Amino acid sequence: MIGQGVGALSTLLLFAVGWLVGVRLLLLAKRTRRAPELCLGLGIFLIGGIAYPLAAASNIMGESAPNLAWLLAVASATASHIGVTANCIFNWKVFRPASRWPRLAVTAAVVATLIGFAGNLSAGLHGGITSMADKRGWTLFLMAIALGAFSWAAVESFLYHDKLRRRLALGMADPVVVDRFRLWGISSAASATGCLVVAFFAWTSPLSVMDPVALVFSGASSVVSAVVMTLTFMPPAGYLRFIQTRHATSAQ
Amino acid sequence: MPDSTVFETVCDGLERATSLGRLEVRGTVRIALKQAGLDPRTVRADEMAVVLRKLMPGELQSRGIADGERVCEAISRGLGGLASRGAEESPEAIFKRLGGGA
Repeated sequence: MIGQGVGALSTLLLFAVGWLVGVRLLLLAKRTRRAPELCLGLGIFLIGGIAYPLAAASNIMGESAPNLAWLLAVASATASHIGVTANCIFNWKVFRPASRWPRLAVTAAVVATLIGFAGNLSAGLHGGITSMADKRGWTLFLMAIALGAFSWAAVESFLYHDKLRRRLALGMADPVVVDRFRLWGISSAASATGCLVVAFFAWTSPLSVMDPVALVFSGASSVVSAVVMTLTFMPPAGYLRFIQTRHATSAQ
Repeated sequence: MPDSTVFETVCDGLERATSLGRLEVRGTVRIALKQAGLDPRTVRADEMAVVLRKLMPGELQSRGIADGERVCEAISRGLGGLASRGAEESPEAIFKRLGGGA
């Protein structure tokens, strides 16, 4: 019961943040015509705003409308894959625009999206998706790609935060922007932790990702990710004042 | 990606103005840049000016250069006309915009 409650709360929160933050970034992209906001907006919107509610709806309809549940599961997995790919492109364009290896990572994410779509579709067409356990293989596949993408984002953000912290000490950085890298690192690390939890339970539990313990831990990771993501990209004025005041106090 | 023009200019200036060798100069500037969280490939003239003012004199002094402050000041004045590499937007400029900054 607690697990289902935490799972439902985190799905609702991610749904709200996916729409609020994702759409705000997409509107920014429409205005600026820049790739980073487009990729990040797409990633947040597709994963939080689309894939999570579709997965929840698919689970609810599993027994009463199996065909619809299967279609929703395919749509959810595909939205997640595209969102993860968009996150990889964001990492590449923001942190490593001149490097070659991120292009390989992005190519791998695109290929994984196609494989994931074809695999989920094929499993459903052959009557293979009737329970959570039937999705185990494709859940693990998606979680492995997502874990890589979110871990990459977390490492890049924390590394860049460390550089900016040193620049801040010399008066060469904005404390709010420095903090934003730390927050994005925390949010990405929480998402990566959630992927790890889901993958672990998909692998070990007969109930797969619907195991109550899995719901508690993955839900808690999602809540942390969603709250910190909001502080990162839609910070309340009070939080910005807190960061500026803290910096002014420590600089004295 | 090669080192920036700003980095090369400062290294050339220090090599001419001090008794340090080429490798020693480049190493010293790299250490100062790392302390400041900057990259020799992307450092801008305004950022390098801060490093020259706040960090380099100490680094030069620890290597036996007595008038490091004057040397750095002279090199810093020469950076004014240098164009910074501007083809790629920096991560901090992107994150500033994503959070609602200009």
